[in-house]
Amino acid sequence: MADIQDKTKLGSPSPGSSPRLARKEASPTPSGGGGVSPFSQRKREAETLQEAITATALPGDPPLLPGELLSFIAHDITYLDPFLGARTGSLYITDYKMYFKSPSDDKAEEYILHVPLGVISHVEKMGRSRSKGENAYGLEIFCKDMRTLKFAHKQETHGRRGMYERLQIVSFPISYGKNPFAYSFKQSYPTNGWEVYDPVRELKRLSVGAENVPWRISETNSDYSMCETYPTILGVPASVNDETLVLASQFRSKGRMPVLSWLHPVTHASITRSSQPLVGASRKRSKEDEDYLSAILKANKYGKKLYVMDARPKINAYANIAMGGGYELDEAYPNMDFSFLDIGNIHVMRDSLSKLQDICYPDVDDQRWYSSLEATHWLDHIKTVLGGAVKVAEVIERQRSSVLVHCTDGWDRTAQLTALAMLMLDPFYRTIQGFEIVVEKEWISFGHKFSQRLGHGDRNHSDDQRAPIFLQFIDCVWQMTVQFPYAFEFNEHFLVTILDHLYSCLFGTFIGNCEKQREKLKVRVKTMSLWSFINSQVK
Amino acid sequence: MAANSIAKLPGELVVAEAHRTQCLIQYTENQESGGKGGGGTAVSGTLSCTNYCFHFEPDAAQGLARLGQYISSQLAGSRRVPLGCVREIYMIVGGRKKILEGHATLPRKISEIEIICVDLRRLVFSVKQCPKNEASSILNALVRHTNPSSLSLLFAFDFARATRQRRPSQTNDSAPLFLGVRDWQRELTRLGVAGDQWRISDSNKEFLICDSLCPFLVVPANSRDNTLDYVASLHHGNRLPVWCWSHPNTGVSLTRGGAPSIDDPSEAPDPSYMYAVSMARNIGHQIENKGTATLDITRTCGTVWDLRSAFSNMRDLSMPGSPQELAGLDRKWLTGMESAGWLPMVRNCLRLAKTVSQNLCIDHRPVFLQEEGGRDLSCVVSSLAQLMMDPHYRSISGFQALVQKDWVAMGHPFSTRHHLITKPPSLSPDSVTDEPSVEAPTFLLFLDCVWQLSLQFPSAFEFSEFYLLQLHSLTYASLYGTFVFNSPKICLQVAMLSRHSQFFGSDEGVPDSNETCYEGLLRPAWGHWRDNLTREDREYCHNPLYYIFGNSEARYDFNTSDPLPMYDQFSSIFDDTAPNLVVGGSYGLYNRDSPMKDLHVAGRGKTSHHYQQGLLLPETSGCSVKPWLGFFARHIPDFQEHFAEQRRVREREVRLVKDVRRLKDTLNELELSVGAITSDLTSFVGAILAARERERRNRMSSLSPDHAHRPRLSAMLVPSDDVEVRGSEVNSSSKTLPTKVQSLAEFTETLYMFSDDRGTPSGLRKSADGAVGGASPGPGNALSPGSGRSPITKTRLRVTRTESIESSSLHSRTPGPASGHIPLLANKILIREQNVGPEEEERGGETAGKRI
Repeated sequence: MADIQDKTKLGSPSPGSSPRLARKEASPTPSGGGGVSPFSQRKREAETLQEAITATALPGDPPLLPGELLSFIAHDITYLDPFLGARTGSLYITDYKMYFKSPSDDKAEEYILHVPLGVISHVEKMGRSRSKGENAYGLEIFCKDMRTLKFAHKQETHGRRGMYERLQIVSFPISYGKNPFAYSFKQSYPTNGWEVYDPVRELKRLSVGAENVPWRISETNSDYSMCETYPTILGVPASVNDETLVLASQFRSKGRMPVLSWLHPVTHASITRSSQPLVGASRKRSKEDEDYLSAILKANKYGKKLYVMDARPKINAYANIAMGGGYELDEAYPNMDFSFLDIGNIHVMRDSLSKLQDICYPDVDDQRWYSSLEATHWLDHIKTVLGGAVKVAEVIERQRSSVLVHCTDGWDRTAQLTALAMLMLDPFYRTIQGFEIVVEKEWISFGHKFSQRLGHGDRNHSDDQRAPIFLQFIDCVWQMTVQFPYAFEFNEHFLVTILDHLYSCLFGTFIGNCEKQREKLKVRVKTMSLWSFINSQVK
Repeated sequence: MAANSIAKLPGELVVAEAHRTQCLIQYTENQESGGKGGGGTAVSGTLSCTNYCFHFEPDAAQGLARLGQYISSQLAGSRRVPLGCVREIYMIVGGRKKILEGHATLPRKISEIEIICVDLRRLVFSVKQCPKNEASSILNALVRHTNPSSLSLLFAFDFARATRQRRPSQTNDSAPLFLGVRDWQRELTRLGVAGDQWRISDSNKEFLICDSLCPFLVVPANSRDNTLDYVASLHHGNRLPVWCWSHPNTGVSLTRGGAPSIDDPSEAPDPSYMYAVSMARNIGHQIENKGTATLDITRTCGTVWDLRSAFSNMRDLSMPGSPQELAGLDRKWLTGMESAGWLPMVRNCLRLAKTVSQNLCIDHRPVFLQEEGGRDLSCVVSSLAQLMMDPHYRSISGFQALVQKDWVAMGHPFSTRHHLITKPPSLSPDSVTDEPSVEAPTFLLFLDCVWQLSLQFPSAFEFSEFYLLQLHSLTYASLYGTFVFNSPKICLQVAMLSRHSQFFGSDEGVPDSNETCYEGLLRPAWGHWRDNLTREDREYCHNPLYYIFGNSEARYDFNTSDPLPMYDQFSSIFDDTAPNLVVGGSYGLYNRDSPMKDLHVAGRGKTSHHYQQGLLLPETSGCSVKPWLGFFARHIPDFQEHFAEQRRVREREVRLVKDVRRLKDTLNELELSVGAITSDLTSFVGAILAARERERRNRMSSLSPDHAHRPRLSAMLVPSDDVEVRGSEVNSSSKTLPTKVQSLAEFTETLYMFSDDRGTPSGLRKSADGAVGGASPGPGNALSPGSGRSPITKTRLRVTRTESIESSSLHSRTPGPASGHIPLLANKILIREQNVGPEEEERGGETAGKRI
């Protein structure tokens, strides 16, 4: 029972916004990791450095995480809460969070707002120094988690500029040549989340490399020469040797050749993933790719066909031909079934989310909630993605045939589809640990470009490469938990915690674009894993 | 012959039979996936009609299976639907559809009969092959008994006559009817109402003051009976403001009545009467007198006409005839539903009821609810407000008392609104003429609102969604006298008349009061109606969460006149260690402090604080009022599996709650008996635990590693009843047992532990249909959610095959989840598997044998 009780308290350093949570967080004092000597030394230094700043701070404000430094204080600032009205208090900025506290008075209870800086998308000034009207002059902070925060300053003090500049520097460290806070976070956890996923162990769990299983583990990509954005360890058909692999990879965009995601333990029907073939306007063919696909087909003794599912709408796939990509030519691949799953690209999803954001925050129009929800098409997209994953799962489960999923690059829609299908097929992934493995494997190791899609620490908020693809995946998982309430070990709170830390930059889990880059950034060495935090709360 | 074999109710007679009828199943989910589209299947059999319901009996057993639950109602039994639940009957003649009414002459060549039910179901029977005379006679019988021309022809009377002898002689244990003085007295006592504030007046005994109200009225203590007549004349329909509820602490009251009549606008409602209403409060509570808050329902919530059109729009959205039609609806469903106007009505009612509760409980201000007729939406709002304020009404008995008090006794025109008879009762024409004689689902609106509340406060109600649905059918079924009259007056008149007309034979003694007269004529539904359900269904009426987190310990017995506990004591009723439960309903399962909270629920404000005081203040913003799929999509084939899954989940919860209770009891016994030797016991338990741990390690290590890491295919999404915790074999201390399940989230987790064999190093289960080489993994392995969007979603939850759905459901032949459960409980409690399938036997035997 003990672990269950803990689970409900999960989320200690969760970037929530409400007074209740913030208070809860204050209780485990930041001295949690105080036993480590280099850390305590650094802490001492920090203390002297901070003395000047903290002189004006109230005792205990703000509660700091190990390794967190306070860098800015502004008093007499008004936060305009869209629901509870304006509150005046002090604002603290550390290198991890923005912390606003309004003391309790006769009219209202104590109010605390707590925003990790990673969540900030951009900051804008509102009003001019001569603006008339109460609370018209200040800062407007746009967040990645659908909120918009408004702070009002007193015009006469001109405190706005200092806060604006401070926020720019600490919120977008990468743009200023610094590391995100995950590199300074010094909490220690009893479990090491970096050890949750071991590609070899996971492939062995799928019985890859075992006797009579026509799949093997390949280390051809150990120096990332075959494919930069793939992990070093790959599952490939046993009948294909490493040299052929390298040749076959050349026909796929960015070298992302079909590799194993999941293997049915009985029928050996497989889910494989890749990027688009480099067909191009000259309708190129590749003998190696054709042989490779038929090797995947033959690795499953029941399937008469290999189902190739292109996640894109057909028109998009067609448009890619002009740019050297495209889709597999029917005549080149006998015994294959080609279909398009009609899922929009990252730009479509981003626009849809931004519409959703508009109708959700801060005000919901009661009269038109459902029709405006329908007009955002967010649910339509969720439906298409889930529907695509159901198709994959049904082919594996009912027709016992193998499926190859790809889109353009094979790191957005493809990751959604394979990960969801795996959740549908394999109960192991519906446990907490299993879900962590799915995220580590299908998303992180196969090169979903987290840093780029989320824009960690980057001030260029209008970058059109940002997109809520992972958020959409989590939404799909949530839909499944609603439909099958007891099939999952985790609950909504677990999913929301993941999303919170997707933006918070407290953990290194979602930093970087691919395994190669993460190695360069020494993410595993220098930062904590989100799973360390979660698993030490669970168990 | 087929019809004779069915179990009929007492007093039920077969009126007509049509052999060789075909039931046309329009489409089922299976066909849709088979790609046949709109083409349906036909099952031939006998359609019969009794004076209570219609019944379809297939000729062959094969048809029985194909029919499944297609024609069924839990209330009347399988393949039976009460005629009261029939809304419209159409006949199809030469490809044209015609509505069938009262005395129309029947054409010769009828090809099909289409029956539309009040629960949004469309049933089509083909009578092409059935003998001519039988076809027309069954049509006649259907029409005649569905909408008889007078009240006394309703089945409720036949049923009451036939069961008269079995009626319990004592009426003490029955639910309150609020037709006599005693029930009102009890209610006043329960709420601690002081006698110098309110009194019960019998001046309406002859229904001379108001003919739509009950004979006894609760009015301010200082009003005189001879002035009530005058006060009544100032309100629409003579419905003077009468007492509904008082806050047990402050004594501030909720009253309702008709709007001031427009005939004499110069005269305001009698000021002295209303002043007395506003002043009524308990001594010792010196609250500033803010005057009465008068809330006009017609202006905020609309009229029955709005309700009627909103419902008919919803109906159009909820009855697709084919998968193609459903797909079309699905595309624009959210928009369509919003423009239907039903949800805004639900929202407005909830919002107004919330205002009422806030006025009474937070501002301590009395509330007067006025509505033009005072008999429709004011029933909805006043009873909703009382549900929000008073935990007593959230139990099953309390809820029934509430419906009786605020609907039946206050004269909600059930007969008219539910269109039970074709014309006004000839026995005693309703003299209230200004009330619109329109058919409208007012009671359904109330049930929908209650469902919204139960969605937001999942553990606050003793009853389940299923109970609400059954209650809805019951109000139409005209099985009992409770819901067949327009007002208590008509009810009592019918009762008196029938007594003289030898309705009950000569042995019936002269009833000593109106109330017993009513009892004698028609059994009120409350004590008995659930006897018509099967045992499983009765159980399914209960909400298991209520017994764990809700108000289960403090159960109020209606027969005792214990006053309601004061409000500040309520905090102990609700477990304040589970704050996560509180806000935003099902989302309350989780921490709502996430930045995403505004996506789900506009859950802000101080609900939690009030909830602990027993006050429910629901969110009423646009996104927190949801379409009631359980009602509106109940008979869409694509949703069937979803509802079946829901039911399986609930039933599992019920079992778990039972187990927890049994364990609790056993523990208590143990603690009592063990007493002094506790320390011995502790060490004993320690030894057992150590042994088990050793055992577990041995078992784990005996498996080859790759085997241990195989995906566990036998993980059943559909729990089968294989885990039985035997309470008697508990040998552990209370700390480690799940007796202290404290929050809903935790409870869910516990269920997860049960529903999935996590930690199981089990092997693979062969599929039920014996696929080649045992190759296909077992049913229930793959989750295939409908490619659903949340609201309409094709939320069909298909477990892989139909056979497997059936087999893995309740009475499964399927092998249960592989043995070797190591949920948390297993360390301490013996878990016994039943239903270990043949394939499992070996492995199961192996591990089970090693258990202690």
